[in-house]
Amino acid sequence: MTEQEAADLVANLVCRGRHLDPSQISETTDLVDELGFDSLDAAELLVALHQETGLQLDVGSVKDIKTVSDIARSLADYPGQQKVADR
Amino acid sequence: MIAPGSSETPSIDSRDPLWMLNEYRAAEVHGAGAIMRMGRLADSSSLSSDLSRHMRDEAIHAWLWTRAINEIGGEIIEVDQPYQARLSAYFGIPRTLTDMLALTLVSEKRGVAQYNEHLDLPDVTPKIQRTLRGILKDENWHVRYINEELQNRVRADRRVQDAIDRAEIADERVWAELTVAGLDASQGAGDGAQHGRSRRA
Repeated sequence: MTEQEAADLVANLVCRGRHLDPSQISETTDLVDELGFDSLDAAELLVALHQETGLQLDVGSVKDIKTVSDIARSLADYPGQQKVADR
Repeated sequence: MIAPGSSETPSIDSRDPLWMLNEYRAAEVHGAGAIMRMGRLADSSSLSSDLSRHMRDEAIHAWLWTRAINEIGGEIIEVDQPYQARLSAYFGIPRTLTDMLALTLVSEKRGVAQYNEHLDLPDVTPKIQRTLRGILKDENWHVRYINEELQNRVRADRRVQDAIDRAEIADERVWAELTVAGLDASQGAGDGAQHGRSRRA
């Protein structure tokens, strides 16, 4: 997955979860400061990303959630893009 | 219910019975939000159905506690939810649906234990007893269906048990911390109350 593909995926999932129009966010949108992400929002996004990609991003707290592009970079840089089965 | 927990920064006296009812209400409101999100992520129709029913229960329970507070002339207040905050701190943000289910299981079990403890207290009014008993029927079902869902997943992948174990460890650590905090607070207050267990309505 390229970083751009990851950014598109993250943006789509954020829009789906928050009922936003894609035009309302960009890759530099700060999910916490601008969209008011809380720990439940973060959990929903991480689980949705896992369901879409099989990847489990390790995020310690909501404070570690920054922008769409930051999360996209974490996905693109995921070690070996190794997928971890949930079940 | 997603378990409440003792308050850290009460805006009213946390020994007031109204505080506990507000904690219950806040936990149910929080639970409804959490279950709604899980419902959007459900990966089977049976889980989706169960989570929808669960979400309905949480919303109704929040309404029941709101009504109970109103009936005794109390006010709805914002209360901290240190149990959820600390559980998340120990476990980390859930990354899979299984993580979410495991955290929900321990929270629901904790909630059942707290409601049962409240029922066992002396001087609980009949109205609150009826509310507790009604809610507990739903809560016991929540524990049962989530446990069955997780055990089905364990049978498919034994690593799921690791998530359950991690959630249980996190829950035990949080509860130990909150119990110590509650004891400290009660010793300061000099009333022997601990972690809300001797508060009653």
